Amino acid sequence: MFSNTRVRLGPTVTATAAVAVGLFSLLPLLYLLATGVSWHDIRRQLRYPGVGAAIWQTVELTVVISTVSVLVGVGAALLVVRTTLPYPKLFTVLFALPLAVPGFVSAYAAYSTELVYAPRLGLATSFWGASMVMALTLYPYVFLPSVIALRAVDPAHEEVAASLRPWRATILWRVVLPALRPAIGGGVLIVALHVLAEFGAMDQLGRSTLTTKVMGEMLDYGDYRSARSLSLLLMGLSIIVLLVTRWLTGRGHATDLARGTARPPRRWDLGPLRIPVAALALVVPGIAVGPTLFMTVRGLTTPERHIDVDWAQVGSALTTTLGYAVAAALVASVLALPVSWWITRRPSTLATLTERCIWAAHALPSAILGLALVYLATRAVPDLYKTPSVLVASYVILFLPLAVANQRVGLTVTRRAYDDVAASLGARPLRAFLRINLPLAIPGFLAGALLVGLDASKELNTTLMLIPYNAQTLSSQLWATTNGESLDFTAASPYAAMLVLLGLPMVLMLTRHTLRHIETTPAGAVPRSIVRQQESDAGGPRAAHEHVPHGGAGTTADL
Amino acid sequence: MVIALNRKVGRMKTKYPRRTMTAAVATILGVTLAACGGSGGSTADGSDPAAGSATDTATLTVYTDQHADLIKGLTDAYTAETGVEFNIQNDATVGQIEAEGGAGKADVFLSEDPTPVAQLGAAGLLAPVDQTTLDQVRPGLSSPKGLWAAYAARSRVLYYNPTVISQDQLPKTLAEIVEPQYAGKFAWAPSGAFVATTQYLIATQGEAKTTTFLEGIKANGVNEQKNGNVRDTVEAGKHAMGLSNHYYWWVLAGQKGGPDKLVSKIYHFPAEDAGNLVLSSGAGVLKASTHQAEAQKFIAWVTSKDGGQKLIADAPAEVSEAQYPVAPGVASSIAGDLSEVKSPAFDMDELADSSQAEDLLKQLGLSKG
Repeated sequence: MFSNTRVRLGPTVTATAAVAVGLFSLLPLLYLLATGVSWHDIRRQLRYPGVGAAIWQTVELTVVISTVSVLVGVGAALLVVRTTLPYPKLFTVLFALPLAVPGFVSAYAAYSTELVYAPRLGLATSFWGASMVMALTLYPYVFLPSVIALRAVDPAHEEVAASLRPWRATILWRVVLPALRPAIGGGVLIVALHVLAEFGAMDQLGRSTLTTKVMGEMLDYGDYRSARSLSLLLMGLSIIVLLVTRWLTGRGHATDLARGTARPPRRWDLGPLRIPVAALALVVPGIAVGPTLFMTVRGLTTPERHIDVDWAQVGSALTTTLGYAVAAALVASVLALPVSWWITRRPSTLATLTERCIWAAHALPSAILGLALVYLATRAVPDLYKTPSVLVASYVILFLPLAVANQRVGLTVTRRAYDDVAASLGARPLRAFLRINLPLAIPGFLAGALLVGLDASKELNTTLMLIPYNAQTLSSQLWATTNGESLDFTAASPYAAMLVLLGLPMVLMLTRHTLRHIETTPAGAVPRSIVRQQESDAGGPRAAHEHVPHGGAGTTADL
Repeated sequence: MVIALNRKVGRMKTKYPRRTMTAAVATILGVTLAACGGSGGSTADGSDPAAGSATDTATLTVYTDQHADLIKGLTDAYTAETGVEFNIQNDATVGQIEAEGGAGKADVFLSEDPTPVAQLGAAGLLAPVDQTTLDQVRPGLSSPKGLWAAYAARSRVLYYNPTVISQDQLPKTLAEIVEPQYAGKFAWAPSGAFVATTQYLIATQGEAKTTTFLEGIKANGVNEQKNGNVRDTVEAGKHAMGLSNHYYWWVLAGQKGGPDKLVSKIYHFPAEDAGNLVLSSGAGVLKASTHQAEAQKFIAWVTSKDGGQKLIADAPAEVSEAQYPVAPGVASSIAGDLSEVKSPAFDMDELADSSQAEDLLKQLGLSKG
């Protein structure tokens, strides 16, 4: 009885907190409505040929970049988890590497590299070229969850399927891919919303999208009303993305999947193709981060260089960036907690709605979000305006979804049954949460916090507007060297190098969590970590499964 | 609640000594503390206007969309001379100032193009600039209404690549560039300066003639999106010519070790022409500023021969961006004297409302983005 009332109290507090966080995320929308948008304005905008074309191109880019991201992300995940690709851990890090590079930097680098070697080619600024550049910076958002999901697919399912002796491709299609749906859905959501909101890279790659139109209205014409009206259209597109990805994710898969105790999956033997496939796999991160590394190194070492790098300035920008990023990661993790807890433990329409609310701001051009916070902060908390707190708040609104999404993955690992067990042993809900759920969910929490920190350290447009006077982050300094135009890699390279160096350990920490799902030894031998995991497993030693032949007899015995 | 939760997590750490968590918490605490320490210093300067007016060394808040290095050069020099400190908002927009409303903190706006100061003036947000300051500037470059003073200038130019086209083949006027012999041979960018040029053409030649010209640009030119791209693509030989602003070329020359290191060349149209249009960077004092006198003094210094103008004239390209100084008798050590550019007269306050140009460019599908 006693514990019952507490259980009831718990969700109410959580729900209230979660709804509050959801409303906090909708602040930019409040700004749009408070300062005025009009249908008349939208109709006027739609009469211009460029706007319709931009909307259509936005849709095309979103579809193409999302599709390519899924193909590359899932393909790469299959390679490292399910084949005998050599050095799978190294490849996991390499495949995740593009996360360390801001989108606009990759775009500038691709553009500049092309100008150096093939000035007349025009590939980077073509639709397909630009799509590839963008997809290669965004696919890790699909790749990382896919690795975890692939590892979590219970091989038993495949073995049952295999016993029916279908084509191997059929197993992939009917058993493995459906299990990947939550990872793909979640990844596509992030990728698509990034595409909708991207300005710097699209601008450099010559792609006209709704966001570049919004920015054009603001920067070139000073027409903020039109900018806000167009942003509303963008929000409409983001709702479509939310619906589509919800369908992609499907229902119920997430909880079925994340057991965390499944046996290691069988690997497809690449045989003599191992080396060529590995070489081919290198091409993906090579194209994704190659130009940035190349232009940065070239910029730092060019003999024409006569600009002295103020390393003290670079260093202070580095610490400032790190400080803001860590603060954003911390606050976002705390605020995401009630939302992710509510939606995983007490799923309801209201919970889903709240969770979807926090994605809305993710699709807005960050300059609109910046203006919204300028507007709201100067009115509500004028003393905080131009202090780091408002900037960190903007990062939190922008990247909160990343924290929620990853915390959900973490929380599904700890099952509700554990709550009941804890309760039966007399533990109060909070105690059960702190002693059982939180420790189990920590990897998901860390992954979320790292992604928030990583994205916050790369953010540009909101930063330019909200950063305290005279303060500099790496990306604002890097932007300053562009003079709002082309990136000059001789002046920008120290900042680009620092951004990559800052992103690298974060990516490594992020993949470390993922790497637990990858075995170092290709086929045959079972790595120690797996054996340890299996011995602690209730099911007892299962190492033999590594050797179970395709569709073999030993399979069903274990089910 | 947040604090309570953190404390709980902190305690839990000792009960569950997980290496990752300990490391993470330690890093987070360390860096957050460092960040807070740093931020405390920077806000103390900005959020106390009383401290400024009480002593000689006020802190002026400058909002600017001018190239950051130039503003840093100017403000650092002024600080060295007078002790006045600055809070600088780079990449500032009129939108930000409007969104700040009554809580706005800007004392001075230093624009890159004339449009933002013209808009601020038209919105009634600028206090008139002292006449003595306006008198320090060459005529025709500042706000005719006296709402802002020009402190630097850029001119529209044509870049060309002599390996692709020789100088005597270049068009003699901007209008000539849309002629058939130049089809597909030139790059342009829908930048703010291009919008200004369009507004100028509409004002001087009418909408019909401007439309025909812009249709020619659309049909015959290649939109390279940004002035910097125009420069780089002409230099790389992708295009024979490119419409841009003068200083981008000089900045690249500075980076490469001199103008002779570049393949491309800079070309001013021989007679007074829209293709040579000079656009001012404007300095204005915000009406809402609580440091009126100090702000006017700073603008007077920026436009004075021995103050800001000398710096713009003599500083290396990475600081001055090779922009033209605007005080009479002061010439850029890099780009030369502004009087060499044959620009037509233009009331730049008209740019406050460039909706006509905007509308035309959008209808033709020539707008940015």
